[in-house]
Amino acid sequence: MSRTRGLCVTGALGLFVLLAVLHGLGGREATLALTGALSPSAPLGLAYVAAWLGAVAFGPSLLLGAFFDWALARLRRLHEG
Amino acid sequence: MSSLRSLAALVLGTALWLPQAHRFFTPSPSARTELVSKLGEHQLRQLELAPSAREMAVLGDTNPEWELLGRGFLALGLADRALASPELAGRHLAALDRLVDEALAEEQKGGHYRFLLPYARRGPLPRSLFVDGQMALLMAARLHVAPRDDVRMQLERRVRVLEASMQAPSLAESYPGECWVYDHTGALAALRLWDALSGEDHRPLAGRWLAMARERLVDRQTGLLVASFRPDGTVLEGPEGSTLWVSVSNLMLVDEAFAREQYERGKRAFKRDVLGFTIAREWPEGASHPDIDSGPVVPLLEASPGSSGLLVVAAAAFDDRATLAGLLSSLELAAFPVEQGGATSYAAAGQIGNAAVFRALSFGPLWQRAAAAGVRS
Repeated sequence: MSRTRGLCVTGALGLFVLLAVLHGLGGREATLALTGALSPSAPLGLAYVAAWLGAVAFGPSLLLGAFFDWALARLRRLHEG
Repeated sequence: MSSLRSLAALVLGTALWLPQAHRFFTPSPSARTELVSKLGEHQLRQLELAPSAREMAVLGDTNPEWELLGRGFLALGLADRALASPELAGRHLAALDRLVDEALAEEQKGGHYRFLLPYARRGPLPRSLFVDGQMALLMAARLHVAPRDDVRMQLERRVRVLEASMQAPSLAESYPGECWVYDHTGALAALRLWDALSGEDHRPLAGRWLAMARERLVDRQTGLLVASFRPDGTVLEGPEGSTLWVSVSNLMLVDEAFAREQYERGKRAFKRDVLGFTIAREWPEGASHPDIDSGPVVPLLEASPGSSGLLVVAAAAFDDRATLAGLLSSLELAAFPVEQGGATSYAAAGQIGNAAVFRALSFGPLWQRAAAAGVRS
């Protein structure tokens, strides 16, 4: 696995894990805090929202990118072989 | 070479995924039918709790205006659902009674100030058109589902107050020295709902208001209705998305062509589509100034939760399916739906946002009745 591809897969998985952890910590309450009276726990809500949007936008992009990278490398090897 | 290939693969992955992402968040027509029922279920369960334990109470602590508005959206949604599906009427009617009775009791205890922000006390305010209009809408929604003599008497008294306010030489205030198009159009909608109940006809009064508004309350630059003004008609704040969306839905009952023209114009000024997700700004380009109605504005996109949430109401009222689908995708992505035993709510929307979406997705019979009032077939 190339270093870049490894970073992509690790990054994607990292985002999902971060999201899962934040959700486990009480994402619903965090978002309520974010949208309610902007209580002191709002930064957690912001982190949750940011992680979720990041995971949706970049998680599948990174995984697809890693897949294409692998497929291209395989094709190249087949072509060379 | 390998890095370049990896970068190209990543760009390709992003280019393929991002434009398709919205498809995973857009509810199908059958899911939408289920959604409105589950949103209603959440609201009904909330109303069955003690008042202090409800999300509405949390909202009221933040902003007492929103508590009354949340009640109003919910009442209109419940009435629409009960009229469309009579088998639901029993439970919905009980919930409507609770909404109306509690609001009247609170008003009796605290006066109009109970539902106003603290700055309402900065000057004399005999009555607030905001409170009178919302109370009338609440009661009218209840009475369209089933008769109730005491509420009808209360509503008739309120209608006479609204008539007097809307015909006074000085434009009716919601706060001292401050009038809102939202509240003026809300009062007109309440009067038209009353017409459908009573056989009276407030179309001439509504027509006079609209003529005044066309002349004095339309922003020259955008052609949109402004948000707020002084009792002498001097404009205070220009067009705002959150005000416009509900106002145009109300104005459907006064002049549908004008309302639709404002809606389309408003969409050009405020609506944005980003990768299949629809959002709305609160102010036209270059006029940003975050306030309590806009909610926390998302940087760069300038998406306003207040404006985006209330555009759902207008899109449903004007049967604008493409806009509605884009907005529901945004809600599913960014408002965090929470499902608990057959009931759904959006965690990031608060009671008022959830009630507004419920009202939008239930939209129909009530406005049809009011629009037909006094119109010969």
